[in-house]
Amino acid sequence: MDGTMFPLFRLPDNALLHVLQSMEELSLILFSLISNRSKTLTISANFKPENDLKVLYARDFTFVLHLPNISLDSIFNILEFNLYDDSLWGRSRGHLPIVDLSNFVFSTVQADQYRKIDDLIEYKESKGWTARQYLLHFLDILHKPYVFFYYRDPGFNAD
Amino acid sequence: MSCEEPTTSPTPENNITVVSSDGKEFLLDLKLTEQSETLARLISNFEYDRTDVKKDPVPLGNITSAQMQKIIEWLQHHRYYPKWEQNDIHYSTSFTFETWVEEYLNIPNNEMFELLNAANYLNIPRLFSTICRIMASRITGKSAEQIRTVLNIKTDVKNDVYTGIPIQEDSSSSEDGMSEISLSPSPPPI
Repeated sequence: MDGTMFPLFRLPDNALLHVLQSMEELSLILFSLISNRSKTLTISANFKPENDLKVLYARDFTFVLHLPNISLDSIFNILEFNLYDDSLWGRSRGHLPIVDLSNFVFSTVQADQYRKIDDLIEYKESKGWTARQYLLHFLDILHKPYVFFYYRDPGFNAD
Repeated sequence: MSCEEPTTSPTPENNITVVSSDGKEFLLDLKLTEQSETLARLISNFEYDRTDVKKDPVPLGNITSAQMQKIIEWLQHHRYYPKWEQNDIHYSTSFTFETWVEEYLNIPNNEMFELLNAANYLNIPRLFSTICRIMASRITGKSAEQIRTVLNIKTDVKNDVYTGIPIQEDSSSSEDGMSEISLSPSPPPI
């Protein structure tokens, strides 16, 4: 990094949108989280992944989104936004507390892509948001009307 | 992509003069101006491509001489390239650039910003699109704080003036401004 700035918000609208549409999907999703204006701009970029937004819940609470990986023909990347608070695990004595989405607040957001361990990207920032706020954020920026909930049994082992 | 560059000697008939915001004059070959939709339209409207028409210098009030010099370097390199066609590949995981382009755009972020504005003003689609992609690739893999720093984005979280404790700004991120979550009655198989 050269230390100088690229004041994105001062660009003309067409240039600004072109930069956003040139971004890799995960970067765009992370960008949407960094400020209210970046969220609005991400919505304007009209990023519409084909696959559904899913929420897997068990010990942790994970937003799952399958993204087509253009560079690896027809292989799908799975983007997981894993929201959890380790302190909840201790408090709940091994069981997920009854989740009231309006009050469930996470301290850490981690985003990673399966099969790309080296490219692990962590978004570690406390926004003070509830899970519901994160969920609505994802629905907004991805232009999704629905989200699907699945319970992931922690005792289940496919092997 | 690389193209052979035949040598041509510029003549007064196939040149126009552009003047940068700091008053410096540049002689531009008409062939080069074809890459700029703004200049090409101007030349067409004033019929500067005709030899019997007097060509007045074209003022470019938004572009400094340093930027113009950089742009001319780009135009000359791409002089014999085919016309740029914007493809529809968005949200790509990676873009590849030729070595010359990487070296040409190996400039600080602030200069990149000015060059993008100039490319937008002159409407040079190949340069415009390339800079956007380079900037997008510079953001890839950055943390939230690094993105804020590079893009000069202020955080929404403000400190309470009395306690100094961070408080969330009341805006579109607040609960009130959000729509209800829609749950599908029949989820698809996982």
